[in-house]
Amino acid sequence: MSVPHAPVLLVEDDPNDVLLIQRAFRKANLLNPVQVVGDGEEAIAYLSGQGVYADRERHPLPILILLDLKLPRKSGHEVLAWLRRQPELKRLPAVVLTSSREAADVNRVYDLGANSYLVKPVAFDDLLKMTQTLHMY
Amino acid sequence: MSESPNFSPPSAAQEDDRGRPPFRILLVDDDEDDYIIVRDLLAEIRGWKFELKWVATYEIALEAIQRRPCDVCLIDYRLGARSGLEFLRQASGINRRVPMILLTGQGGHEIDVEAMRAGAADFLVKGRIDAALLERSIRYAVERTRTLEALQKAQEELERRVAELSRANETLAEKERLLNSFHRAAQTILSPLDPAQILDNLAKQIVEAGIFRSLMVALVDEGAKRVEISRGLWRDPDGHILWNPQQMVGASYALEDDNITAQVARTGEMQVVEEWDERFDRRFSQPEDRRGKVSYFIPVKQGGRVLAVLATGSQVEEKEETLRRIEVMRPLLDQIAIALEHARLYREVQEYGQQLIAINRSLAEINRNLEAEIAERKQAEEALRRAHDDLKETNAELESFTYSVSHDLRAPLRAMQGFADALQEDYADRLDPTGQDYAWRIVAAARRMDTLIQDLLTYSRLSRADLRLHPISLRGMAKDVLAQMDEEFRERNAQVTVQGPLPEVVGHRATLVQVVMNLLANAVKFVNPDTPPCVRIWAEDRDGWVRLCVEDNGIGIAPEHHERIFRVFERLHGVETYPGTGIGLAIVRKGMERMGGRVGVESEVGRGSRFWIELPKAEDEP
Repeated sequence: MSVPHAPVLLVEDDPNDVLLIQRAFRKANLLNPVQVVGDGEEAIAYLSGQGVYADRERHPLPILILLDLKLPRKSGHEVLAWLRRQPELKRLPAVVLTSSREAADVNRVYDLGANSYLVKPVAFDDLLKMTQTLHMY
Repeated sequence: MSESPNFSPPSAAQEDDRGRPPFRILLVDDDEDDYIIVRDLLAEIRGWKFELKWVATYEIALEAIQRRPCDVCLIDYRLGARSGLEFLRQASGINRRVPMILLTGQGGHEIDVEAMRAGAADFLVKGRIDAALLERSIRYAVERTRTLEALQKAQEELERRVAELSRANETLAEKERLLNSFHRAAQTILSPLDPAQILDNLAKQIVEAGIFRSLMVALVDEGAKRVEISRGLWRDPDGHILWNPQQMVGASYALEDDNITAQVARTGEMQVVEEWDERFDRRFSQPEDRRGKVSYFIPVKQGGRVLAVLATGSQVEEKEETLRRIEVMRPLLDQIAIALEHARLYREVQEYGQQLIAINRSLAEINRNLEAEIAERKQAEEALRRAHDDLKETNAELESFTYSVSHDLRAPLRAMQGFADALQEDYADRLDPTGQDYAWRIVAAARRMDTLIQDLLTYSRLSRADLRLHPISLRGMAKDVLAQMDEEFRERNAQVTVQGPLPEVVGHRATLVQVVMNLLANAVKFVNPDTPPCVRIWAEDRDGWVRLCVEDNGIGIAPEHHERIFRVFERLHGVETYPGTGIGLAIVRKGMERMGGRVGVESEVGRGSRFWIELPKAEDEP
């Protein structure tokens, strides 16, 4: 990551998964703060700077989105679709968190416009590898 | 003096030999002096023998001419009261063959002419006659008369011939008339295509034209072997036409019957019967009726077959004529036979036409039935398609349900695994071995549960999937599978080799990958703990099928379990010995079933196992 303190937006509703991902970040020595939103609508609100997220001091734009697909209110697909329609945000790296390595699911992820995927539970070295890959962009 | 072929005076030499009667001359003269002169003159004539008879009156002369003909007659013109001309005329009337020579006085030209007109052959002027003249005159008169006679004969002959010719002409004319009527008759007779009508017209024309006075027509029914009277016509003396005299129409006879019409129909021979015959049908004629009459029965034939019989009658006197007319009619009868044949053929064609129409109609009906069937089938297909769509929908719903369910089931497992791991890693120093162990067991249990759910998901998906089959390169697939499982193989120190060429098969790639992976996973798992797994993979050609074999050096399977192991949740070992969900082989079998293939095993305890799967061989690309 070029900017050490730029946050990562984690869009995940399962608290266990959130905890484990945060742990993974720690183990990978990634210092970026992890901003968590619990559903698709909140994700869009955060990214578009609505409501409480208008305060970009406290809620700066992330440099990476970790996106679960199964979310309440708006699904990961919808968030992704929305994201890719925003002129300023469409280049924002989005990594999908998937629960399976099934080829069909993986292909779908790329079709949606994601840059990569991580299989849950996220092993910290996978996370590390991914960030390193993204860093090369 | 001209010689005529019929009249050559004998020469003096011949006269005696031939012995011909003397030339007889009759002199009709009332003057004896004339007689003497003539006698003397005649004596002077050489070469002829004469017999001279002298009569003095016309009456006696006429008598003489009547009774005893002479060869020439010399007549005095002026004889008594009567004139010579009158005598001439009378004599000519009695016997025209006697040449007559007029003896005249100082006659004038008019007299001569009159005399000739009256029949005299020549005239002589008394006082100027000499022997030579007399001879010449006689000769001339005789010749002339004979010539006239010949001419007359010729004339008569000519007239006779002319009369004959004219009679012949008349006959011809009548024949022509007949033919013309036949012609006209033929045209109307032959034009219709209904045999009954043809014969009708024939009968009418013939009877109306007076060719025959009556006509009966009987038609032959070859199929029924019968002959039936179909028409009867009779023309009475006033010319009125009577239809169906004696109610004959409808009478029918079997061809074998002893009836004249039937016989003629059977034999094809014309019969002419005078008066009565036993073979006549007593319903229509009695012996009395036929007295003085002749009956004629004429067959109408075509190609050896009798198509009809005509019958007519006549008086006995007319038999010749009637037979002649029948002969004249023969060509017409032939034509009629042909027309009847045509009519029959036409009727046959019409019948065929009707049959064709009927067949067409049945065909149309069959067609309609077929169409109805097709419509029904289409409906059934529609229903099937709808059922299929419903099923797909249900399947899709089930799929998403299953997916969601399994997804949600796996989330807590993830948590269990994750935190157990975290516990082990982050709190390793604060956990004693037992604690470590507990944490480890949590992870193991969670992992097992996860695998189970995945397997169940796979199995369920296989059951519902509509697999679209396609050609698969076994070689390529094997490579991918081995690559994917490479880590596991290395972990277990397993040696997995592919032997020989692997052909192309028809199947579903993803499913086949799953199947082979499951088989290989088993192959490297179920070994003796101290034995490195050794797995061989090869393909066998089996008559349109490809058998892929996976042979291991594992613990083997007892024959009594060969069937059980393919069932869901069936395990032969405890979880501790060899881990597994018990679904792996069920997935293999289900997967093979869905691809239209088979799976089997050859194995014995302690001798390893050879699992095989079979799929159809892919057709060679042209």
